[in-house]
Amino acid sequence: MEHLRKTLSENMAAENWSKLNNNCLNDIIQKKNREKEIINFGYFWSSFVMQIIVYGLLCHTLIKHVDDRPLIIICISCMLMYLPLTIVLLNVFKRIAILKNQDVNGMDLPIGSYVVEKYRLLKKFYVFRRWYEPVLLTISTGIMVWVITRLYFQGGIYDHPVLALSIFIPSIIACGIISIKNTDKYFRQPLIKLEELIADLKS
Amino acid sequence: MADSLEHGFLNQINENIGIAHKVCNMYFDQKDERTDVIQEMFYQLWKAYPNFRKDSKFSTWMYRVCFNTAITYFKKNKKEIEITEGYYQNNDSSDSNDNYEEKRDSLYRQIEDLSPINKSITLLYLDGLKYEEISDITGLSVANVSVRLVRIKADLKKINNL
Repeated sequence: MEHLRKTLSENMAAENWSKLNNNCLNDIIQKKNREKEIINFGYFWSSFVMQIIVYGLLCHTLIKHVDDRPLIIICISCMLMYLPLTIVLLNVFKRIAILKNQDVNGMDLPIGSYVVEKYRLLKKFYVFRRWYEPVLLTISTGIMVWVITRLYFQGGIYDHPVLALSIFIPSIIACGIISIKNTDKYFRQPLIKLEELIADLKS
Repeated sequence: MADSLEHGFLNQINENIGIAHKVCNMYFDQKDERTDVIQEMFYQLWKAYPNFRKDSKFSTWMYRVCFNTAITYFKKNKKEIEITEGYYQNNDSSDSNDNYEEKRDSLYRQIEDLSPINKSITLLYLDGLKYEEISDITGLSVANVSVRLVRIKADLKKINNL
């Protein structure tokens, strides 16, 4: 290795790397900005579509069945119950935006500090998401099943429990699978990778 | 103002451009992957440049950003090694260069199995950096860097003897 170190340092000057120019730099910045915008928007919309559907359905029900007093009370209660989740979600997006900036600024930290900081922030989101996702999915699916059975089946959920369950269970399973896959891809796997790096740093 | 910032950035980057390529070659073996990662490195360097304080050497700062980008992108899926293709290089294929490239590629293959942190230490050591500088870039203590290098050398010796 000592010999190779000497050989490499002697030959390093011979490495003729192509230079970065203004145009090339601007192209890279534009390309990377576009890529990051697409990722951010994709993440934002995928999280919001579910909420938009729920709010849309509840508003539609309120307007269309304005005479059905119990339904209106339930819809408004559901909206009020759902509102904190939306506020929490918006706060999380704000924190994600801050995290992204910190991430860029933190890039010039020593490797060890960078890895630990990245792990700490990602873990925080992972813990929140593990709590948030099951609650959001269960409440959203429950509300939709309740409203559908109330509107389209005489007697609602109490007279048609089997039907309600047959809608609820496949819906929650489908949403759950997507949620688990996303959590695994965006949180669990990166966290495992960072844990391995931290263990390597401590070894 | 922005033009002078860009000009200063490009000058410093071009003086040290080998750092980005070497880090990239150390962690990634696929040409497409390397192209993407090196662009990400330049992007991260550009974004972080306004925060560059001149209390450390530019090369030290650049090593940190490049290593942190590489570690973020690095996945464990090992593929065919294409090191000799020399990404972005304008190679003069003379005999002496062939010999040098052979040695360099052989070394890159040997360090393929090292952990990401040990890879970074190996590259910094091979680049002729002092233990203090390696410590500054990695965030490990000088003693830890020293111990790791002894272990890495022993591991590489074992591989060579196999």
